[in-house]
Amino acid sequence: MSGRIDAERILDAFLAPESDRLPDRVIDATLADIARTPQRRAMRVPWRFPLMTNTMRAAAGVAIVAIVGVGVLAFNLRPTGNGATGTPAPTQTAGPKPTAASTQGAASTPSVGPWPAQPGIAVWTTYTSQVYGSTFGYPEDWNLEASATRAWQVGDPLLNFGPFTDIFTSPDGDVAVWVFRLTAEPGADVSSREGLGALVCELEASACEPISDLAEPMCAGRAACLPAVLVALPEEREGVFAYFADIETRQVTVVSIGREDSFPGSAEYGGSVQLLKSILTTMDVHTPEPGQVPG
Amino acid sequence: VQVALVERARAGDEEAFASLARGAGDRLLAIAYRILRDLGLAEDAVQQTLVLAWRELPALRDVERFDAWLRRLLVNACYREARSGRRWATNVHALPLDLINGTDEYAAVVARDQLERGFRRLPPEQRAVFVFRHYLGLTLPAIANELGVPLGTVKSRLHYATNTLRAALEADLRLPNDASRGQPA
Repeated sequence: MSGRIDAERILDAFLAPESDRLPDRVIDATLADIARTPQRRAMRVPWRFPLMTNTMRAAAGVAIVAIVGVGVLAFNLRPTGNGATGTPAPTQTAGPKPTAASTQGAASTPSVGPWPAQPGIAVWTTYTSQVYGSTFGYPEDWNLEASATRAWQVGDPLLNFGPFTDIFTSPDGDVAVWVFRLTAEPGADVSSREGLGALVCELEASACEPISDLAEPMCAGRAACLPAVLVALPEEREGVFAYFADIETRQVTVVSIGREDSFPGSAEYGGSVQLLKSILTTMDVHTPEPGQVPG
Repeated sequence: VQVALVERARAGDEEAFASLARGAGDRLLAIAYRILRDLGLAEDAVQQTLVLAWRELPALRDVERFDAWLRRLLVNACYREARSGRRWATNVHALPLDLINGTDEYAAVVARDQLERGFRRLPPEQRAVFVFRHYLGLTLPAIANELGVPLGTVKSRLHYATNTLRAALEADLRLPNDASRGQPA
């Protein structure tokens, strides 16, 4: 009798293969769930937005004019509730020239720059969305890829871009930022982070899980700390986004970057999360100061 | 073959995903059971993982990493199950009889029981690292990559897990002599 224990053997037995067979009933239940579960749309931005030739631009311009002609008629015949002006032509204001277009109610006085430099961003270009009316900045050497041509509508995705988004791309086209606003339904709580989370969760079910685990509290407002949330999705989901609300108008601004934090193209800005935070500073959204209680 | 199946499933082919699920189910259950030490919870974790994988598959950029991606989803599902508040079921798995043929074997049974108790005291994050290291045999950098946590965090979790289990075994070392007094001759 040695009385000794072979630790390796104990460990092997502890982790040893047993009857590791997934029962058919679990597979069957899984496949039944899958039949009822739609796949989520990929939120990746195209690796590079297609460059347009002059001919293509001219053709696209004609097409846009035609679409706008029809769209404006239809658009102006109904209320949008999203602050839409019905004027789809974008206006880009180069340089930190103040405008009074911002309707961001989170701050008592809208931020219109000039904004301080941020990692990788020395100078900002001021942009005013013609659809949403908000003013914010994007890096000077970036491109305005597309302006929103209509307001966000129920059924539009939250974590992807579309005609309801203003889109900006890095010089090489590898990183894109898109911005839009939605109007919360009556009764939805937009005055707390939990309420905002529930709203986003309801509208984009696949965002529920990361929001609960990954939400980083942010403050909206130059001096105040109204609720705002930043979420960095897991790497396989590729993206970071932030949202904050104007409590009076019940409009929720959503800002997204379809790249994970470690995406190489975001490195010069300190990563996708830092890039998003830098852009948020032009919207008066910031990380809580020491001692500041978010929300 | 698997890459082709993943690409088809990513494009919305349910049959292709069913093949993937059947192929991966046993492997996922083995990992989940070793982390959760509860068959019911492990089955639920696997089911959650597969449904989530189906939903999120269009966002998977590199189809070659499907297995690693699936394991990461599984570990997150295990975390949720471990924290779901459901009471841990009692899972007693008898060791093969040929192991219990003497005092050493009796000590081994007792030690394994101690190990089981020690393991259940570990937080799920430490269990996952321990299982990835000792069951899957992954390197520490590979574990860090799969779980999406820094290498230092992996080392730290493994260190604490190992210390806890070693303490459980060392406590057990005192048992055989005491226990042998109560053994039938």
